[in-house]
Amino acid sequence: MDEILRQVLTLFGEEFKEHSLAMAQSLIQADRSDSAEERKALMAEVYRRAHSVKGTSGTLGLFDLEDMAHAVETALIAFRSGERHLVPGLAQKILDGLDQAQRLLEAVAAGADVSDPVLRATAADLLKLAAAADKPAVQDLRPMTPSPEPATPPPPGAIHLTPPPPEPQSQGAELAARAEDAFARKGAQVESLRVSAEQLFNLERQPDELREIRTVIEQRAEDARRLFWTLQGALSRAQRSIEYELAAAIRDQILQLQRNITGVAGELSFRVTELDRELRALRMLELKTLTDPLAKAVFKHADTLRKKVRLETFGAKVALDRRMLQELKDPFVHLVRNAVDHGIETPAERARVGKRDEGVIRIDVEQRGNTVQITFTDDGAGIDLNAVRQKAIETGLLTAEAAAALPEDQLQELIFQPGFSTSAKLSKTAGRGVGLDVVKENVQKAGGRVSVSSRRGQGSRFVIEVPLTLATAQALLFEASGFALAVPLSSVVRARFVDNVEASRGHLEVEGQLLPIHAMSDVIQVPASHAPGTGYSVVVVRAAERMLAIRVDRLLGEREVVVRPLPPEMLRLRHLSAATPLGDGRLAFILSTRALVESLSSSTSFAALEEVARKHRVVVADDSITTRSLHRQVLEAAGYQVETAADGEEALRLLRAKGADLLVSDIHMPRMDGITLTRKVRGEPLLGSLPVVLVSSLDSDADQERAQDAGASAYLTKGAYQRGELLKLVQSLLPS
Amino acid sequence: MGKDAIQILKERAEAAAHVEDQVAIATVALSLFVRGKQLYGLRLGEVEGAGRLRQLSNVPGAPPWMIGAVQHRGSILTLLDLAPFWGTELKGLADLPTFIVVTDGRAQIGVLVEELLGVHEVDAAIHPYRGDERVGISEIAHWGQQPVLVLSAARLLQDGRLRAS
Repeated sequence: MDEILRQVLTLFGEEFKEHSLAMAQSLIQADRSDSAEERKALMAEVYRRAHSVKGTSGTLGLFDLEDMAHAVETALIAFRSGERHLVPGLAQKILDGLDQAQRLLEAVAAGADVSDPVLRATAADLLKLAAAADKPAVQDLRPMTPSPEPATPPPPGAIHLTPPPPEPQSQGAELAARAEDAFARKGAQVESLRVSAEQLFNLERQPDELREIRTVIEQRAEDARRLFWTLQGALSRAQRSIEYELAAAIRDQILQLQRNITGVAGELSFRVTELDRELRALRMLELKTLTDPLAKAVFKHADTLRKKVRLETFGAKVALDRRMLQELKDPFVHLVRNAVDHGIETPAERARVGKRDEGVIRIDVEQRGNTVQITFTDDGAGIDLNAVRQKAIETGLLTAEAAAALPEDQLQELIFQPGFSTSAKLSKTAGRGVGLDVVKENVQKAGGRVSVSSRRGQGSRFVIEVPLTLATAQALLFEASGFALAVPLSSVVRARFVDNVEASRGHLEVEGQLLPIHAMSDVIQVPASHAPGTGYSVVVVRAAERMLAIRVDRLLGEREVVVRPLPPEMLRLRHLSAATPLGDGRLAFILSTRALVESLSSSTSFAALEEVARKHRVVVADDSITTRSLHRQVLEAAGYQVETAADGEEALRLLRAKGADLLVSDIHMPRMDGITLTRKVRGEPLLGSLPVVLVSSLDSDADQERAQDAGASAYLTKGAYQRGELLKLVQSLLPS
Repeated sequence: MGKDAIQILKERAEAAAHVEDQVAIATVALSLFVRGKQLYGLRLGEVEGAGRLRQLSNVPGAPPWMIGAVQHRGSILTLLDLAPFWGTELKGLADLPTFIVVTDGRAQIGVLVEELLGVHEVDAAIHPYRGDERVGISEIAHWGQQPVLVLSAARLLQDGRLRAS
């Protein structure tokens, strides 16, 4: 077994224990409850957890466990409303299955085979019980006061997984004993070195608290130092005497004490830093530990549906906090399964619409400052908005009028509603209304957000954005207006001291652009600080393809910082994105570079912003800053919204992240040329129909043919550009 | 059963219920603190902890009631001064050396106080607060002769100014 799979199985083993325990408790409670409302809530909990176990076990290739979890779901369907009591024997059988599943997981972690005939038999028994439960049951009419249940004979062909109890017991008593046993087993695993996320989180707080103690110790050392100098001052004026000698001796002892305290503080500081480093290493795991096992699951799952699907993953080496991974596991599983179930068509259907028989699900991971963006794209059928609209009306979520008036993007968001499924057929993976609500819930729990966009016939894209709040980040720290501040290093273009001569010009030349220098106090709207001197420091940041030069009081340097999320009261302070503790007990606030850049346009009216949003977006890719600037000026003057990229790779990243209405690209560029860029764009599910204008200085037939083969919409030589052809071409390709 | 017997049983039941009520609500434990010469109280379940204000970090762009932030048990804690929050008198930070961490089980905030008086049993005759519209005060109780304004963590933390937009 490879290391990654072992790590994932360990994670799942811990997760399963939690699910198993919670399911057992809910089943027991439901079995005893006389409240239909309570039973409904408890059944929902068991059902949700079974669904989660099913998804993950299928992903990991634990198919017998997946079948068992599926059987649990099926067996509970008749009881989800809470109106009926569980039939006798059902809860026991589920608990049998959970016990056996636990044994299986332990065996698999020790290297055993993943198949388990006992678990398969349990699943079969559960399905039989489920079939029996569909008939009206006498047991449903039992009195309000619980009474001993008659012993239920085992269904024919059932396999006993655990020995029957020596004496007949009531169902409730037996279940309670099982739950206690489960607790005892959980507690007895002293040989295990697995640590829960919660424990790790508690441990993680310790360095911060130790730092606070260190600050106090340092203050005591400072007190001792002051005392020494006070005494020293007094002694310098005193006459020599026995008392003088005594006081001098005390003075020397104070000096020694101060040095000792400082030494202790230094040692503590060193140990805390070490502890911090070790804890951080414990917390981090590459995202590929989640994405790698998905490929196999996609393959197997597609095979059962007679589909051909390939999973491609890019950039999953980004390391995230384990707790974040834990939250993201279910969303990942649900999204790829949904894509296989509902997105990718069968080979025959794909052939009919001119697609390759093999569908592609693509996962792109990109770290952006303090956030990680994970994009799931498939080239399947996309979301059927009519079905969504119809379902919303059927379920009473919207009136027919409201559904008709709802814009498409908001209609798409409805698929994240609990219980919302447009699948008419109840299958192992679809139509149960569990899934995308779990995706949204888990992502939100991780402090992130998820959005969906889709084009009928072309595919869907789900974008998950989660903060790096549980992780660390490289940041540039500085002081301005009395505040300790930081920006993510990834967004810093330049940071340097500017002397008075340069400062008097009021602007800075960066990457061929003249940037006005803004005071930080103006940008974040705080009182200005005046620190006269020989100059000041300037930090140039980039966000949303724009650069901003900001004057700060003092640079504190680059540092790896622990990123702490802001409390809710601070989320309205739009310039702030997180905070980080400094070594001296102070906090530095990490600024949102995007908000900084946007604040310069704060005078822009809402109407103007809307107008910008309505403009066509054009991405211009060219390695020459001059050409980029020229294209930008010409197109912006004509009313287009323009974003620029210095090469094909950057352009592709921009297109994937934000989309566009048109691409203008040079052919010859470093890293990725315009021909490759065009081919990639044509291969992207959501960009396939994007108009692409290739511009080249070469007026050769060969180049034109290459552009045509790659799928360019138009080809323009730079000579033609000078004659104003570009604008005409863009206008012809984009309707006004 | 005769009418007298029923009456006797009824009276006994009422007496028993009355005694039980009295026992159950005789006193209530509140965490008491002083701010602006006024005594305030919080139910114990709504106090997460307290701390001395050693190192305060100013928050850029903060409203006047958000005095700053500190690190508390590994999280960032906003410090709230009730006076500007309620639009009443302002006091210097030197008067507010301590903070009490108020929680509703989901969110938490640090409230600056002049003095923490600890946990005390107060007269259980707590009445709904019908005074001015100071956000977060739900009831009024008495500690000896002194009135205690009882803060509700849920009401305080649900105020629109403290929630994310």
